Amino acid sequence: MTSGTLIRQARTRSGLSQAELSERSGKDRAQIARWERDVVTPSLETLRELLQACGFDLEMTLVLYQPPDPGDEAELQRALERTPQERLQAMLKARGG
Amino acid sequence: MAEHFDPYEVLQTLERHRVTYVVIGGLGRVIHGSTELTDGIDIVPSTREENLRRLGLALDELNARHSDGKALALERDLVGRGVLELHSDAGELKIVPEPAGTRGYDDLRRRAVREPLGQGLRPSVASADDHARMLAVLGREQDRPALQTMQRVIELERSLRRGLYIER
Repeated sequence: MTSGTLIRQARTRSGLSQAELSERSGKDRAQIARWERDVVTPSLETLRELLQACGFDLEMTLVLYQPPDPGDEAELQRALERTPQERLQAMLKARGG
Repeated sequence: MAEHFDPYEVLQTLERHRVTYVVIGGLGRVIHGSTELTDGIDIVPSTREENLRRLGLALDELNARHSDGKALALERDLVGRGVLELHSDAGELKIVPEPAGTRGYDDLRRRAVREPLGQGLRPSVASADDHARMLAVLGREQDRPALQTMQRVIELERSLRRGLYIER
């Protein structure tokens, strides 16, 4: 989950437009759009302010880090090197279709 | 994974009837790079009246029906349902007017990308971010692997765009 996804999720769940969130939070609308697209990343404090303006809060706890399985990671990286067409055809082949 | 599934036939039929929609779900994730397997296609149609009429024609052509064999009456069947699950001659088909955490077609189409899949098809596929958002909102344990994969796809795509590659 990226900060941009979190902001967009909170905003859409509260039924706000970017302009309305801008008005509520006092942040520039264009900057909100950049945060949502993850072009730039807000500070943790700003992220929390934005979520609170949407009626949500950010609850953070430390959890043990579980690195991705190296086999799954290699498979995913190979898939990303393929075109969307190749990915679809590989899936159809794998399911025997 | 025994049921016949031909996503090309479904997508070509939707295109032929000029239906506007966004692909989501397992097939959308596969197109983004997930290596999961899927038996069907999930779409979010525009719910404008004319588009639903076109979708109805496409579903007729695909011989789409309820699992109990009941005939389909699209507009009636969509009322009050989160997901319309159908079987067709080309495989499973789910019609999802408003996926969890989204406001439906108009919300998803803005970040959706037209992905070339061959046979002249370039359907609109919901962004990896939106796929992750939908799974996160559902909060189901069964979706955790798919969610982790989408989050990793987002990270890898972002690093590639920045000219970096995350080494593990």
